Amino acid sequence: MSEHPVPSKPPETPPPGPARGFDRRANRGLLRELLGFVWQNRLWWLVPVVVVLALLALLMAAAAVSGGAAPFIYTLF
Amino acid sequence: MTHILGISAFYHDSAAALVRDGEVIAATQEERFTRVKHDDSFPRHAAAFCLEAGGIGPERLDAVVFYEKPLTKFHRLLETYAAYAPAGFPSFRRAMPLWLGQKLFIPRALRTGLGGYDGPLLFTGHHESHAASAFLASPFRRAAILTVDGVGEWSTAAMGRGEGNRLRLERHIRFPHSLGLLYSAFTYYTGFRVNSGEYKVMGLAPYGDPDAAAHYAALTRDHLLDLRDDGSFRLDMRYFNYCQGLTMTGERFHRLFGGAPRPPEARIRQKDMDLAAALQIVTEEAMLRLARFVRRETGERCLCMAGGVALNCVGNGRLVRESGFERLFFQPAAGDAGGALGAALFAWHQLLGNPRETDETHDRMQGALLGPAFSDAEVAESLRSAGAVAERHDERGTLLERVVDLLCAGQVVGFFQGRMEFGPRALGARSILGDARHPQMQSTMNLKIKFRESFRPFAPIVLEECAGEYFDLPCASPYMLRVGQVQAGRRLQPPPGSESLWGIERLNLPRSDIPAVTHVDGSARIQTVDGQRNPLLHSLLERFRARTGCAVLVNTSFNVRGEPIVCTPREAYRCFMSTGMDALAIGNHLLLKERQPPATVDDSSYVDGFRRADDTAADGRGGAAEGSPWRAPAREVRVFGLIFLAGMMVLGLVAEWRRQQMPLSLAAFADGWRWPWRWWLPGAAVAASCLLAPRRARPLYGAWTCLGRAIGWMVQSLALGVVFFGLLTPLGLLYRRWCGVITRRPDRRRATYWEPMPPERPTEDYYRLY
Repeated sequence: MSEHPVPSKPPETPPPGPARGFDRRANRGLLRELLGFVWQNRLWWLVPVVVVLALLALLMAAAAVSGGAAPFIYTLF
Repeated sequence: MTHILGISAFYHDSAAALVRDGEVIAATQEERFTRVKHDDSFPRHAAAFCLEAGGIGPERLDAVVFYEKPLTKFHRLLETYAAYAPAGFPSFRRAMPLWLGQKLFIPRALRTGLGGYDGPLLFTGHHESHAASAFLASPFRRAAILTVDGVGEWSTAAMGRGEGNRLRLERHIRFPHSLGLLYSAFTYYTGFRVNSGEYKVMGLAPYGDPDAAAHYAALTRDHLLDLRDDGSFRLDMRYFNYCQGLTMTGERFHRLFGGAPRPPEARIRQKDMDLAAALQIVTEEAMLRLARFVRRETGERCLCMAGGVALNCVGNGRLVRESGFERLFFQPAAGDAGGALGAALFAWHQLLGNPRETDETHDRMQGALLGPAFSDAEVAESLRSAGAVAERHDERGTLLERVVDLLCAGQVVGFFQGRMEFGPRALGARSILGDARHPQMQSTMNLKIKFRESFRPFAPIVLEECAGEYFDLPCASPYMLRVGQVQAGRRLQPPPGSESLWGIERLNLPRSDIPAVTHVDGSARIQTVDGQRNPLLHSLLERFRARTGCAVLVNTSFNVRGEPIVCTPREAYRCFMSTGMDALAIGNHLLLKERQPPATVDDSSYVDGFRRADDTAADGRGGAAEGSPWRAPAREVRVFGLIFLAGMMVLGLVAEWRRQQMPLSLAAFADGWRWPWRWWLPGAAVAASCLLAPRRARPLYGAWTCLGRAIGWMVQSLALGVVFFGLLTPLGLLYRRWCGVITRRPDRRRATYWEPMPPERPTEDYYRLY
């Protein structure tokens, strides 16, 4: 990024410790977010679709992460 | 100090913006760094620049705010597919891998994209982000707010009000009924690229035949759009295909307007101009009704507006004159890029409750000059390494005088000064300038410099204090977001016999004493320049006026067709050398084309590369490109060798186990190929070649990866087909019967299509993905 120089002054005060006013612990994992979303909006009819898509996402993630193992993984199915 | 980084990404025009204690430190789009127009990938470079501009690392960020709610958007997508199933599988097949592989995992993408950032993540609503980018950046203490775009979560338009440091959206219009998508549908039908060609359609509109345009506008009102007096509207979805298909318009739409969409490479017809004019009529009607309703409903005197439709500067000009609001502020980055800034400002003011000071005069956009800048020394080094021949002017005054000399001689000058603009418009920091009085300037700039369609008009920059001499503009327009008429006294009467000319033929008629910036209908997309926001450009205009008596110049963005606006001195020099530009004023250097050494870049390939990108039809749903395995680094090939060996060993063991399970006779038959070493040996051979000679083994890796992708494509198609037809279709049939919320047709019995927005949400909800 040295090609794009800094156009403004750096802050003069030392950095704050934990985020002021925001709470890192308030963030949740994707599964809890999905459950909370379905529960809050009463989207029961979406549950089977989301479950199957989640399994497919796992398969795709496994194939993507494992690089050269994708043909081995896909042929298992 | 509190640092908040706003991010917009994964649809189009990814961007990042940094706010420190409420002050906008930096904001920029990713396309300016990656050189991919409308880049939708994670704004890694833009975020890195913002952090550098703030002098901090990611660990010093107090929060990162994403500009929309991913799960709500995913829900809308699934519900839309359910509403249209069994139609829509090709679209489902294309969209789901992107969602399952990337868009559902936005928190992870944010954290990894920001180098392992581990602090709080927040998610504002899409229209909340737009509204915040408009109101919280505006000069107003209180104002009405209107956001109109394609779609964000469930809303396509929203209205509300803001006061002090808070805003609240009160009503919205629900997807799939969208003014922005109606505009995109016509953009697609007239042969332009969706999500980027809309402004071309706007530029084409004045060439339309008024009678034909009125006819098409009537067809649109009668069949496509039910527009109410309060500005609310509903589309007849039988004419559109964007919910369930890979195109914007359907067969019924094509029948209504007499034929298939214009292919992108085909010549623009008079019919396309008439349709563009009709669309502009309808869009302006809708914008005016929306704004007037918001005025009545809120009783406010000021209006803040954002969303892609707020980039329709012709419509904005009418709002300024006819909406009833006394003052209006249009966010200069009104599209999705501006959502990054809005999200960050929203977190600072609304979620942290910090006060917002304003003097009712100056907005907080700093002239939209929020991007990277380069010192004179860096410019000099860049030019030296490129082999450029430059004049150095340590006094800016002498540089400006030299630029005025060139402009007076009818030359075209690149102007690269200070911080780059945020948003789609070049406002004098990365601009190409010319003399607006020159009769051939428009065609010269279009064909020799921009390499773009000759019909497209150029915008004027004018000294703010002189704007009234040239244009009918009731107020300043510092961000080139308002259109006004050239003053009648400056307009020229069409020559005898010109009445028979139509469409593009009218382009070459003299129209005013500033023809290069006067559109065929006498309008101009004006940028007023003041000494506070852009003192250098203001000084240039003053000098030009002192020399010529004219306070107007042509201003167009510093790029060629299909190219993002240049960001660095190196890109500026490359663009300068590849086009017909005569001179380049960059920092304190002036470059004349005639003195440059022969071009070190291939002009045609440079221009054609961007033009091809511009011509490629797209629907705005592009995904991340996969890397080429044929050029994989050695380490990746070695890892592949080991994985391949492991896989073959497992297959060999499985083969041996199955051989032992077989009856003796069958085992003897299969004896030839079920021995494990038949698997292990090729595995070991491939592994050895990958480990010992990874570069030579690249073809093996490439072939294997292509095989994996092909199998993956088939498995995904099969699995998604099962999900779509086996699960979503039957559920969708039940859903449509009992709880469907996707409406497909106007409902004449309803008094309005406005719907109330949910009540104000507590801060905890902004940590949610929904």
